[in-house]
Amino acid sequence: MNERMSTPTSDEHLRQALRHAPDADVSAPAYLRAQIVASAHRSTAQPGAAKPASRWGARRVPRWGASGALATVVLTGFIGLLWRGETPAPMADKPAPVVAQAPAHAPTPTPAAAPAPATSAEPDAKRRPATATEVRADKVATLNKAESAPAPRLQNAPPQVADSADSAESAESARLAGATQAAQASRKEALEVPRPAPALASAERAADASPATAAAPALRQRMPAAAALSTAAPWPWRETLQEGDQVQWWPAGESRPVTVAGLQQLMQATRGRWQPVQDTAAGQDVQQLRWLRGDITLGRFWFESDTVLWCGAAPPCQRAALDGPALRALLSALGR
Amino acid sequence: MSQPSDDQLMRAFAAGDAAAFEALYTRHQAALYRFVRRLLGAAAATQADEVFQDTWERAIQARHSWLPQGATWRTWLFTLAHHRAVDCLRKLGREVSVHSDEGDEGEPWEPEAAADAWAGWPAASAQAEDIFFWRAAGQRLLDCLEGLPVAQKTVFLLHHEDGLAVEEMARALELGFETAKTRLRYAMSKLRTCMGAYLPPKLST
Repeated sequence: MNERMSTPTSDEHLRQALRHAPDADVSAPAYLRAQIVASAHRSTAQPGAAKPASRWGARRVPRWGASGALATVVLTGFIGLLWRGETPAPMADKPAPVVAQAPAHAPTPTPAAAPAPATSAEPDAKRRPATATEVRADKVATLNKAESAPAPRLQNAPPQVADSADSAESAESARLAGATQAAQASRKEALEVPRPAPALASAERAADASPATAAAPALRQRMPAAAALSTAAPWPWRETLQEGDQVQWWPAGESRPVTVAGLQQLMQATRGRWQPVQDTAAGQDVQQLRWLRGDITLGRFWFESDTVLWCGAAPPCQRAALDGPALRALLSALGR
Repeated sequence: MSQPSDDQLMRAFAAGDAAAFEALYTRHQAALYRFVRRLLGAAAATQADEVFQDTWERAIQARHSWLPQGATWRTWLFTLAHHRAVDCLRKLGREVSVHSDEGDEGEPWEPEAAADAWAGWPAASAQAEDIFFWRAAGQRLLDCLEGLPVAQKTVFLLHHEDGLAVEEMARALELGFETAKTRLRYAMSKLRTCMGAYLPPKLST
C-alpha cells in the first residue's frame, strides 16, 4: 500500500470534487427544520426536565407515558391481527382516548370489526339499511372488515360506488334516498346470493360507501392472509403492513403512538382516494405520521390542508384528497 | 463581533435558549445532511431524513449532559449521525462490517468502471478552472463512494468533507489511530483508482 494518503494535491483534488458534487448544495428539507426546531423549543419549555445521561451514540429513549405504551401495545396487536388476517377481538369496552376528543359529528372510531352491539354504531345501523357489508364479510379479507365501522363522514363524501352495478350499489342509492325497505331487500339479496369473485371489488367499495355496521358475527369468518392480500389494495401502505409495526406521530422527541381507532379512520377516510403523484413537496409545519418498524421508517404521512400525502420507500408517493371537515375529523380521530 | 462558538451555543441551549439551538442548526444542517446522504448512499437514500432528524433529536436530548470531550461539537454531531446511519444500514440488511479493513489486504480493488473509461477526459491539472470538469468529477466521486464500505466511507468523508485530522477522527469514532489511518488509506487508494483521469496523472496510477 502506498503512502500517498495525505498527499496535499490528491486531498485537494478530492475536496474540490466533493465541493462540486451534484449534492453539494443540498440542504435539509424545510419541514425537517420546522420539526427539529419545534422539538428544541419544546424541550426548553419543559422546566427542570432532567434528561438521562447521554453517551455518544446513545439510543434515543422514546418519551411516552404509560398510556402511550399501552396504546402502542394495543396498536401493535391490532396490526398483527390485520397482518394475519384475523378479526381483532372486541375492544369497544374501552374506547381509545381520542374518541372522547372527536367532535360530535365525527364517527365513533369503533375498534376493528368489533361485534356490533358494543359500539354506538348499532343505532346508526338500525337507521340505515345494511347493505353489502355482510357480503364483504363473507368474501373479503378480515383486513377490510376491520375498517367496516360506520363512517358518517363518508355519507357526504363523493360516492365511490358509481361504477358499482351490483345490489350493493342499489342499496347505497336507496339509502341516500331514504328508501329503507328497498335497501333491506337488497341486503337480503346480497346475503343470499353468493357473489362471484370479480364483484368483490365493487362490493367492497360499496361497503365502504355504505355506513352499514360490522357484519353479523356469524358471517365473520377468518380469512387467510393470502386472501386478504389478493384483493385490490385500497391503501398504498397496505403492502407495508407487517406484524409489529407501529404508527406514530412525530417529531421523535414527542413521538406518540396512534390509536387503533385513529388508524382505522385513516384507512377508511382515504380508501379509494389514493393517486400517485410526482410532486411530493410537503409544506412546512404539516402534521406528520410515521410508519415504523423498529427504528426504521417505512413510510410517512403528511396531513396537509386538503390532502394526505403518503411516501413509502418505493416510489411513487400518493395523495388522497379530503375535504376540510373530513380531514379535521380524521386528525381528531388520530389524536392531533 | 465574533460569532459564538458551537460550544457556547450548546451551553446556551442547555440553559434554555432555543435560539442558540437554531443557530447551531443553521450552521451545521447542510453539511450534516450531506454527510448523512453520502454515508447512506443510494441504497438507503430514503432513510436520510430519518437519520438526520434523529441525529438532531439526540443532540437535543443530550443538551444537559453534553460536555466537550476533546473534540468539537461539530465532530460530536457528525459522530452521532454516523452511529445512527450505521444502525440504519444494519437494520436495512446492508452489511456493515466493523472491521472493514479485513479482506482488503493483498486484494487489488477493481472499480466497477475502470479508470480507462475516463481516459478521454482532461487531466485535472489542465482543467482546474473548468466547472464542468469538477462537477463531473464530483459526480464520479459520489459514484465511487458507493463502492466503499461504510467504515472507509466514514473516515474519508470526515477527513475530506469535515476536515478532521486522523487523530481527531479516531477519537471521535473510538478507533485506534492506526485503524483510522488504515481505513483512510484504503479509502483513498480505492477512490484514486476509481477516479481515474479526474486526479492528476501522477497520483491516479
